[in-house]
Amino acid sequence: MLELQSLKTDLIRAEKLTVSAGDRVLLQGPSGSGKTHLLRVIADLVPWQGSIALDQQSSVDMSGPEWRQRVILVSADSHWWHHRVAAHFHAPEAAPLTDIGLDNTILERDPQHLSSGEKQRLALLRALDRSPRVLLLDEPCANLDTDATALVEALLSRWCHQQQGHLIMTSHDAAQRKRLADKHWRIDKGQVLEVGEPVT
Amino acid sequence: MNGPELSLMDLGLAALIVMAVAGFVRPLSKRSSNGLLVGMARMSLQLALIGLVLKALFENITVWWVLLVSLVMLLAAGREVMARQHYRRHSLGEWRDGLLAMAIGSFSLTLLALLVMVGHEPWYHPRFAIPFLGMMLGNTMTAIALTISRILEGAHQQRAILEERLALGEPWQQACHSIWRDGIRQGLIPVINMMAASGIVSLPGMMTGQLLAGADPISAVSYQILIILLIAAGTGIGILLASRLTLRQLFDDRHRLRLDRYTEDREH
Repeated sequence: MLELQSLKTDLIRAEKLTVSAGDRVLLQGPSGSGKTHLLRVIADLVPWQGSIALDQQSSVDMSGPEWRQRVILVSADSHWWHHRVAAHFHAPEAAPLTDIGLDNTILERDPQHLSSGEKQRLALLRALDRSPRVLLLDEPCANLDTDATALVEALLSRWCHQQQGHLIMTSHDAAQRKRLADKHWRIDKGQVLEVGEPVT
Repeated sequence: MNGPELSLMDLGLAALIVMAVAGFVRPLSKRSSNGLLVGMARMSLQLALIGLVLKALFENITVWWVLLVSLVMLLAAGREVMARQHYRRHSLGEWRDGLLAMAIGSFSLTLLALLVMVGHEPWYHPRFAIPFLGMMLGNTMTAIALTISRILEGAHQQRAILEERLALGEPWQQACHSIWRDGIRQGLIPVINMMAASGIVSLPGMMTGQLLAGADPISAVSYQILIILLIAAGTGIGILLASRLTLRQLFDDRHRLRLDRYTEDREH
């Protein structure tokens, strides 16, 4: 279980929020409300106050990199630094490329020459390649067509169910929020709250 | 000095030519033109002052005076390293990093040269100590400034990639490896060029000075080789240290990129 308690930064605050293993949390709020910032806080990429724990182990009991190997943030725009896609993976041969509509040959290509949709799906696989316990996804389907979106949603649901992963993601698509979410969080004037029904 | 003495008129003529160049540059870049004029004035004043200081030191040779002058030179070099940086932290740590790297890179090798290689009695004689240290400091200062500048610019330009690598659980040392490498390369370029061009394209300053003063060319060459080797080693030590210290300051204890600690100086 992922637990956030008394979280506070300049932009947001949250009293107590939990995500159980296998849960899919959809985070919503107007543009600029701090959704991406909250994901960055949970990934411990920016300074914050309060406590965040995974399976009763506090983030401060381990180093930043150790925490981020368990809790991985995938940004809305992915970035690549090697000239081959495969070089970004620990086990490229194990990446379930075909599950999200990609071909194995893509591993040998230069990320600079890929479409934004291909890069977005590969960024998700690159995160899964690290075997995280928590995935924080910022608009993971923003550049995808309907078919690719369905494949990504299915992959995420399978990962949550089979690996007992914790998923927190943002999405501007109200229908997607309804389809995927087990829980809804909303940021209202900087306060992060759990809400019963998705607000469309 | 064995060669003919230079008069103030001779120096004035050279200064006039620099002023004319500044005049030609002015329509293109007023700032560069001013930079040339201010630089010329500063250089003349500083060299005149060090001339007087050296004269006083030669007349009163004690280790404490030599150390005091060395310390002033080091502090001035530390100021120069940070003064021209585009990204600044404006904190004590910023000065400390550059100073420490320069002190270790320059002082350690100057001491080695004075104690082991030159072997003059007393080892701290300002005739050797000050020129050696001056050349070491001047060269390590340039290299360290280039390295720090390249690293800070690289971190700002590649911020998104750095953050992505950190988000994937990489420690800062791994995430910024290419920025580190580029910083080291940048800092070593001047000394590598100097070694490649020495004797073919250019006659280095120390040797030129000795030759002009009437020294034996073979002795001038051996001193020059020694000083270039020391500069190469001192530069390497200095930039390795400075790059490590600068990179460490870019991240906090949780390996988070902290560019919020820096401000961009738009003047440079």
